[in-house]
Amino acid sequence: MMRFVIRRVAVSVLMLWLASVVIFVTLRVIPGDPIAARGTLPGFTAEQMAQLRHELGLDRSILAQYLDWMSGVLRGDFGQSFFSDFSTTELIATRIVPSVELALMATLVGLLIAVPAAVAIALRPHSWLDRVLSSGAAGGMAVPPFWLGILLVAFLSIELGWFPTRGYVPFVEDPLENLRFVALPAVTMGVVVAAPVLRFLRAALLDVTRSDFVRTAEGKGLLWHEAVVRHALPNALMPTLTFVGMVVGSMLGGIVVIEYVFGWPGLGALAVDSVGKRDYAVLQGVVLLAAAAFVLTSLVVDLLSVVIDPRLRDQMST
Amino acid sequence: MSVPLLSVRGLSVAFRDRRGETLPLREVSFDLRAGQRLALVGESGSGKSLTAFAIMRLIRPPGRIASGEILLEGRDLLGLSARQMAAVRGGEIAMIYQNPLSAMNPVQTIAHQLVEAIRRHSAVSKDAARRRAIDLLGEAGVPDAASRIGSYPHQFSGGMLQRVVIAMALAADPKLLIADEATTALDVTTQARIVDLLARIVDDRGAAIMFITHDLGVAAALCDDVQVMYAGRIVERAEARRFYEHPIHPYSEALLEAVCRLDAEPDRRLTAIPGNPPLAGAFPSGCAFHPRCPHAVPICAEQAPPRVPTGGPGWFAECHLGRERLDGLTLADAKEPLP
Repeated sequence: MMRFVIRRVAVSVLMLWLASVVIFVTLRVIPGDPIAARGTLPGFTAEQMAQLRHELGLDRSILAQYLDWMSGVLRGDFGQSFFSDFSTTELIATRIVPSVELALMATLVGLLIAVPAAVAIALRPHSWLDRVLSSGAAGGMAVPPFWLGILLVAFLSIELGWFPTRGYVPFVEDPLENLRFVALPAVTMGVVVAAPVLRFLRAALLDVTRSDFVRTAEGKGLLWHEAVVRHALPNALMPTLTFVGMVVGSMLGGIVVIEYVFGWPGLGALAVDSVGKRDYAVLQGVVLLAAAAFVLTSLVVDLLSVVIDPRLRDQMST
Repeated sequence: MSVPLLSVRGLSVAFRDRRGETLPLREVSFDLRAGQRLALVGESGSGKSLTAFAIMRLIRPPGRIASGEILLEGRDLLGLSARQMAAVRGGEIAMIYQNPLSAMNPVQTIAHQLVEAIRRHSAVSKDAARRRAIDLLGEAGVPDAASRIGSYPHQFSGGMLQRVVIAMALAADPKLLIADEATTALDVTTQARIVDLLARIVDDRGAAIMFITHDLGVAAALCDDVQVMYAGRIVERAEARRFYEHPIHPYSEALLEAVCRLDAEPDRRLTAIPGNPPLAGAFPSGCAFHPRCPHAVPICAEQAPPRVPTGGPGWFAECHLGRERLDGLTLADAKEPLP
């Protein structure tokens, strides 16, 4: 078991390092740099711009720049923003809490939609309810998140006035207001999570409900819904857990758009700003963090699977 | 005569597929007395397991019970609500399954699954149920039950896990045990031990057992009566000794000739039954066995055979030649009486 954990962590670290190289190199290979992104500033000559590049270290070799950045990262210093007075570390620190909150709430909403819906389907497969929910899931995967977000704002905020249209209040300041603000973006992202998870869990459940042990559960006197919930569901959730990990990991891409739509001061919004300005240090920091979130999610999911599944647990110990 | 424990009347099971509906179980009728040990034998696809699952009302769609009655002490199970039926399952009728590993939930401990079965049918505390579960495991021959009860199914061997499944079936002291190919997935020595165990359990508890198997030897070792299924019908039923010595139905005869016995004359030939068992939906007309039957006469292909009583309580053979074959047997007996 311990060996598995160590190996799994080592793989995660290796993946993160590879991600850092890809991020760093890609940013420098794509055309433009922070100086060029500003355009030709009035009063700046080509020599002065070259001078500025030199001061920022942008004229050094990529390897030298990378080593410089990496040695900072390992000490928790992600470098200085070219445009803000704050360091990347500070910028990320203020943005990470809203982003993580939104991601967690979206996952929660997604699971609260997907799991009961999949169970309802498994109780009566191929019923009209199955058709409605399955079509809903297909629709949920096809709908662009920003459009759904705008739709929710239009109805629930502007028409009905139940929720604020955009903005953010920190949880520590006013928990209730915080929840009112997070509701719409979380539901929007939640649908994005729920749709593929529902499809996956539905298939897993329909498969597991045909297993012998579910019939055994009925055979010892459980009602069908009890057999499904107590025996089929835990077994179907195990592969689904890995799938949820992947969906949540890739959600970080979609979250950028949602943060923009809802004026949510998260990392996504920060990343978009930084891309436009080629603010290397900030962008590298944010993308590396996204990679770390993905790696961490799959690490947690893998470890959790081992904890939950006794068969995996035994495999680990031998 | 008093009401039998189980009385199956005209039971048919239908399966629907793209081509329409097939009837893999056709008008099956038989009785089982309290404490009786009945073997249900036949080739794969003859409807043995289907009969068992139909009695438990555990036929999954696209299958369904098309007609018939399943009377448990006179009460028709097919008329019960889902909740009433759930009380019968595991309560009055309990089942032992073919593959113990797939029959147990892989992510729950043995204790959890046994306690669930016990508490479903009697209002006892978790602790009391756990103690009872340990007793049941002991009765089913699981050594060291108290310490092994917290294990997961994959940590048991097949034979040991089958004992766990048996213990689970005993949770509510059922009147009828249905063992569906309970020894098929096990190796031969384990098979013998499980058969002994089942024999002892039904003796001790006075429970009836319906033992489904394609192994005539196992059936002989355990059961009072033998019932043969072919193409979704019961073709013969008789007391075990009579059945083995003087099968009436040509199919029973063929089955017995295909069995290798240690006490047979050394030069006796093993005879395979020619052809293949028919598939549901393509059952031959008349007597379904007629294309493979060495004694078939024209009427066999045209008319369903009558049910010919063969001399004992509930004994019969469904064969056009049943009468003559029975008479032939009686004549032979008259000339050369059995000891």
